[in-house]
Parts: sequence; structure tokens; C-alpha cells
Amino acid sequence: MDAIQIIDVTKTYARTAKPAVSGLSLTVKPGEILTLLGPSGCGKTTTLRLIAGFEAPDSGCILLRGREVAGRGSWVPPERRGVGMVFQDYALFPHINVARNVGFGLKSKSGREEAVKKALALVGLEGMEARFPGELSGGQQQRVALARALARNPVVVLLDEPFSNLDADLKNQMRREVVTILKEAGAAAVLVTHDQKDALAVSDRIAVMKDGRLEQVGTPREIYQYPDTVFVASFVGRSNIMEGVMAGDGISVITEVGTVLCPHTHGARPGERVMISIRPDSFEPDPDGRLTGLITTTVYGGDSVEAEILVEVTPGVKKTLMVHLHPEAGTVKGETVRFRILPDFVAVIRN
Amino acid sequence: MKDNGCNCSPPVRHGEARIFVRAVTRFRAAYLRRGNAPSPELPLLTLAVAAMMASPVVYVAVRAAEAGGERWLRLWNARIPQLLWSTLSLTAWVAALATVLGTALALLVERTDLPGHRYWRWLLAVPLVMPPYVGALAYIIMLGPTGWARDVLGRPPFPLYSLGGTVLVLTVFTYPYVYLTVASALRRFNRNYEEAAVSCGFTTFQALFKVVVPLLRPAIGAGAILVILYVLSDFGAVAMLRYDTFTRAVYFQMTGRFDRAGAAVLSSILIAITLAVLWLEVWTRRRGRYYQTVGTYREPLVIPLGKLKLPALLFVLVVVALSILLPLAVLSVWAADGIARGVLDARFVGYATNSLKVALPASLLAMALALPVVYLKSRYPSKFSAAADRIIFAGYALPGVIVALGIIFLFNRYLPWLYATPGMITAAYLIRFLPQSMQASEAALAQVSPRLDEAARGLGTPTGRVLWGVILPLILPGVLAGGALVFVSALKELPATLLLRPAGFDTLAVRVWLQAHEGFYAEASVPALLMVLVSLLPLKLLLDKY
Repeated sequence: MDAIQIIDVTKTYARTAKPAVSGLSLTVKPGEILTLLGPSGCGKTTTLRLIAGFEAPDSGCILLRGREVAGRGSWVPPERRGVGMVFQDYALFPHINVARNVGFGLKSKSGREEAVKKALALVGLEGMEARFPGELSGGQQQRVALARALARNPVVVLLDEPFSNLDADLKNQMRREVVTILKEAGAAAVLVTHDQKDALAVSDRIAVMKDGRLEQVGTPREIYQYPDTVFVASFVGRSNIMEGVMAGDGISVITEVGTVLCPHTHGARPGERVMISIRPDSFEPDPDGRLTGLITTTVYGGDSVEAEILVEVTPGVKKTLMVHLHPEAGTVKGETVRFRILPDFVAVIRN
Repeated sequence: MKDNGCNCSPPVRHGEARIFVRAVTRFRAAYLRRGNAPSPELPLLTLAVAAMMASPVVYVAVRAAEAGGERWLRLWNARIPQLLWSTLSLTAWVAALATVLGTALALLVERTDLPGHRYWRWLLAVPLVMPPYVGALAYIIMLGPTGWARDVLGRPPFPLYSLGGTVLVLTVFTYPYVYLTVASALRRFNRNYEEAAVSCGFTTFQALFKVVVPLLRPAIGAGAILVILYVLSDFGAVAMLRYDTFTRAVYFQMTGRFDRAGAAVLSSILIAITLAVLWLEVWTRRRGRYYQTVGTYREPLVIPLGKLKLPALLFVLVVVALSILLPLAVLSVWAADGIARGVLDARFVGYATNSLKVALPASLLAMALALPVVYLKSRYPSKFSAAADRIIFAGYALPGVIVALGIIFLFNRYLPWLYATPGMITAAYLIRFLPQSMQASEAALAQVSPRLDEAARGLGTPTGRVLWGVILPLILPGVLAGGALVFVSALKELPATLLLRPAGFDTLAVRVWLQAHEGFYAEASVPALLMVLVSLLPLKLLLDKY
């Protein structure tokens, strides 16, 4: 049975015309980590709050482990949904210590101590029981928040922008730890972020949202390699987007930079006008490559160099392409390079 | 059905009761299904509190409307024009002088190298704890027709029982309203504005008047409105100084002529004036409080006073002397005399006990009733909660004599078994001072992220219990501070206490009034000084509000 089922949910806030979430359907499987990714105002936080029960949908329904918690005529308040939530600012109760924070939702005395201990062990904070939230570092606070959310063995854990308050170093560490902890606890998790790096790093699946609607749901690899839409291609990572026509073979697209092999066609038929996304990673320097271009700008990124290359597609017509180059390959502004296009990061996309 | 001998409605049959209960249950369920609504007790309590706060005033207005054209006409011809003139001219004078005084003091203390400004900072706020009728008592002792000045000079330097005398007394005890709001705005002032002006070629001193004062206008206006509302509602000081205003006229219409309808007519005009001022307040606030600028705090630019240092220091000293040192000294001298004469006897303990009997329940109730209202407003803001808030604060601005008049009407008609009990006084305190408790709780609640409420709910706490179990422990210091403020306000309250007290029920405030009226200054000074000293204790809380 799915951990979460969201069926055709729409939510419009009072005094706003546009729905915050519109016609959203989504399922989360048990034990799965799903990330809602999108720019601010896309409805991802609203979706999270709808699942938690802090907002009620105008239409549609929400099921948690098969039980309808919101829908026509049914309403289960947040306190009875069995959902664990980790807030962006952690929302640890400042007046009680770590142990009591973690044990806050455990109503019966019996087994509380044990459950708190187990939860703290899970997040690696043994021995911190007597500390107060104010005495903890950001990473520790987050772990307490996670322990508190997990202590009740929730159906699902919701995490609102979990990494946004951490500095870069800690962020990397916590991404790994949070995944480990969630997987160990075996809880399904929904995570909200606007940071594609978070999403790609921690998710089993990513749901990209825009203007209250779902743009694409898929594994991080699917989302990055084969974006469905222009929005996904440009929001998750960067991409070269151009127009083209499906070639007769049905697996390549004729564009201004030549015919590009593109096995991921989204069912477009030969002859159809399509948009195509070519990730900067798809270009490989090749002395025999079809494309020749002049390096106009380079941005050194440590592990790769992002370069803009001016390519003369037909005599007199030039186009700028974004390309990732290996930092060791001496790349100098003004140099001419030849390269070819690999089919790995190419996809036909919808507008 | 048995006739039970009274004319109440027949007892509800069981079937009807069950239908009623079922209807309520169904309504509650439907209400909760709407989504993440507050538990229905919160808005219902808020509604009840708002109704309680508004009912006396509304009832006074109703009674005024029922008073009849003939009475209106008579009062209009005989009293109202003169009362309007005296009330409004007093208000205008005090507001203007207190504004100038308060603003100048705030600028001097916060922005110049005035020696000892750390001490002035809180000393200048102390007059706030002095009830103006106690201040008036001190001034009568000093400058009254039979005061010290007469003993020294042969005759008083100027007639104290006059517009000028009343303006003097009220100004030195109300300027802190302006001083505190302006000083607080200055402390939050973004230094960049001034530096921008300086970089445009102005001196720091010029920048003060070019940039700072204009940007402070909303704060100055807010303080001035507080002064206006205070003067309009004051009864004790004007009555002691025998200056005729609406509050004094209402009081004498009730106690001297036993004409409650006439009192209602006079009250309704004062209500209209007060509401107009409140509307002005809302209007100015809507125009934006642009002095609340964000940005990292930096020490403000300090303006060197140079040759003006000594005159400035003298000016501050004179204000402190007039508003604190002299009144306290006078009261202390007379209180010592009174204590020597044995004022502190068993009867005095009785007066103090009476004060506690009415002020303590008011303070406890104010803390309890403020919570649901403030919580609803903070966590579930809506048109309803905003309207309730506005109504409750309007009740706060209204003069004590009017609140008392409304309570007399209401208790007389609807709660006769509570009529002429101390409960009426407590009710009046609650109506007059509940907003003080609300402000304190609200400020504390604003420090608590709503995410904490949601975290508690997510962990299985029902809405009702979130407030008691999670939020209350966090905001308890603020709630108690609010209770303390209500307590000292209630302790000092005069007009409603005078009008509502059962025969023989004297509180400390009432004693000050009665003894001063008889010219027994020593006997009046003891309870007056005691009240001022008690009020000093929560001064810190009061200052935190600004």
C-alpha cells in the first residue's frame, strides 16, 4: 500500500486568485524518499502542509497508508495523522531538553524512555539528552528535529527545506546522514527544497513543480538526463534548448547544430516539430567532431569548466552553446575546439 | 407540566435538548472539516470578550439615544458648548506641549552627549507610574490657594485651578508617552539615512532636522495620540484641579444630580470624540510606520552639544524636578507627617486589602482572557480577529467614568445580584485594562514561531492543548508582566472605583481622593505614596513595551 496518495488536489489560499496547488496527483511508496523541487511559490511547501494537515485542500483527497485524511467530507487533524515533520527552523521547543523534545509526541510513559533512546541513537546523539536546544549546533538541532519526527514511528516524515540553514560543509554531511537515517528508520519521506543539488543528492524520486502543477516525476537520473519540459531542463541543472524536427529514423532530431541522436523521444513522431534539451555534459571534445566553435567565456568550477562556445552552425549564422569541459583540458578563451554530441544527456522536451 | 411559580420559560424537554446537542455537534464537526481551523472555543471566547468590552459603551450610547430630545436640547444649550471648548482646549494644549517636550527630551537623551544620559533614559519615564491625580495632589500642596508657595510668597505665583495650571500638571505627567515612543523609534533608527544626508553636505545637527525628525513623525504622532486619549479620559487630575471637562461633568451629572440619562448624553459626545481620535490613530498607522527600518544595528551618530551642554542639562533637570523629584518630595514629607500621626492603622490595612480584593482578580482574569484572544489573532489572523482586536482596544481608550456608567446600567438591568458589589469594580478594571495584558502577551507570543505550534500538533497535540501545554510555558513571563501592569493600573484607577464602589468600600485610590478633597493632605499622601512605590516595581516591564 502506498504511504501517501494525493489525488487531484487543488488548494487556493483566501484572497488569492491563482491556486497554490492545482490538480496535483502524486504517490509516495513506503520507504521512499521523494523530493518536491521547484522555485519559491511553486506550491511545494503548500503540498507538504496539505499532507501534514496544516492546510485543507479545496478539492481532491489525500490518503495516508490507505486511510483518507482529507477529502470530500473527511478530515483528520494534523495531530491524528501520524506524520512526523521536520521544520525549516527545526521548531525545537526551547524550554525543554533534548530528551523531552524527542519524547514530546509519545503519550504513554511506558516505553517512552526507550523510544527516545532509540531515536537519539538513530541520529547519533547519544548522551545529549539533557542538553537544551539553544546549546546545540545547527547540525545537532536538525538531528534532534529528525529524531523527534521519527520517535513516533510515523507513516511518513515530512522535511521542509531541511538543508537551507546549514553551511556548505555541513550540508554535504547532513545530506548523506539524513538519507542514512531515513533509510534505517524505513520511513517514507517527503522533502521540500528549491536546491536542485539537495534534490539530486538525497531523493529516490524527484517531483518538479511549477505554478502549483507537477512538471515531471522521476528518479534523479531521469530528471537530469531526460527532462520532460523546458522548465525542468532549465531549472534542474543547465541546458542548451533548441528547436528541431524529428528525423525519419524516430531516434534523432534535426537541429541547427546538426542531427542529434536522441533516444528519449517522448513518443514524438518523425517530421514533428520538437524542442530538444542538450545538457552541457553531452558535449565531448573530439578532434574529429562535427562541431567547431570558439571559446568565448569560461567559468572555472573546480571539478569542471563551464564554457560558452560560439558555433557557426551555417555560414553566417552563429549560436552559443553551453559546454562542460574537463578542467585538465587546457581551455583558453579564444581557442577553437572541435567536439561531438553524446546521446546520454539529450532529450526531447515539451514547452 | 408543573407550574414552578416563576415566569421563566418552560424547561426544555429532553428531546429538544438532544436535538440541540446533536446540532451543535454536527456544526462543530462541519466547522472542523473546513480544514485547519482554530478549535471553535477560541473564536467563541474572543467574541465573548469583545462583546464584554464593547457592551458598556454601546449601552451608554443606547441610553443617550433614549434620553429624549428635550434633555439633549437642554444640555446642548446649557453645558455642551462650554464643555467642548474647555475639554478640547485642554487636550490641544497638553498634546502640543507634551509632544514638544517629549520629542526634545528623546533627542537629547538618545542622540547627544548629554552627561548622564543613561540615567535620564529611565528617570524620564518614571512619571508614567504617577497617577495624575496624585501629581495634582502634590501640585495643590505646593502651588494651591493654601499651598507652600503662598506661605513663602504671600500669595500663589499663579492660579493653579485654571487652564494653565491644569495644562502644567497634565503635561509633566503625560510627556513620557511621547518621550518613550520617540526614544524607541530613535533607537531603531537606521543610521544610513543620516550618513546619506551628511554625505550630501549637511552637518550632523542639520541632518537631525532634515532627515531624522521628519522620519520620526509617525512615532511623534503615535505618542501625541496616546497623550490626547489620556487627557480626554482623565478624571482625577482635572477634578482635583476643578477644571471642567466632559469626564468631570459626567461624574457630577451622576453623583450630584443623579441624572444618569443626562450623564449618558454627555458621555456619548465624549465617546464620539474618542472614536474620532482612534480613527485618526488607525489612519496614521495605515500611512506606514516607516521609521521601523531593518538593517544591522550600529551605534547612532552622537551630536556634540558644545556650549549648549549646560542649558540642556538644566532643561532635563527642571523636567525631572517638576515631574518626579518635587512631587515625590512633597508626598514623602506629608506622608511622614501622616505616618507620625498614625495613619497606618488597622483601617489603612483594610483599604489596602480592599484594593487587593478588586485589583488582583482583575489582573488574573485579564491574563486568562487575553490568552485566547491574542492566540487567535496571532495564529489565525482574519477579519474577525482584527475586528475583535479593534473593539477591545477601543474599550481601552474610553474614559473610566463612561465605563462605570455603562456598567451601572448593565448590572442594574441584567446582573442585579452583582449590583453594588466589588465585582462591578473588577469588571470595570477588566474592561479598562485588558488590552495592557493583551499587548504584553502578544509581544511574547510574537517571539514564538508558529512552527512550534505546528510541531506540537504534528506530534499529536490537539489544538486546544497546544496553547496550554506548549505555548503558555514559553510566553509565561510576558503573560505575567501583562498581569502586573494590569494590577498596578487597577490599583491606581480612580473614577470607576469611585462610581462603582459599594457604600463604605474604600480603596487606597479612593482614600487619596476623599482625603485630598477634605484638605487632609497628610492622610492623602500616605496611600498616594504607597501606590506610586508599588507602581515603580513593574516599571521595567512598562519600559520594555516601548
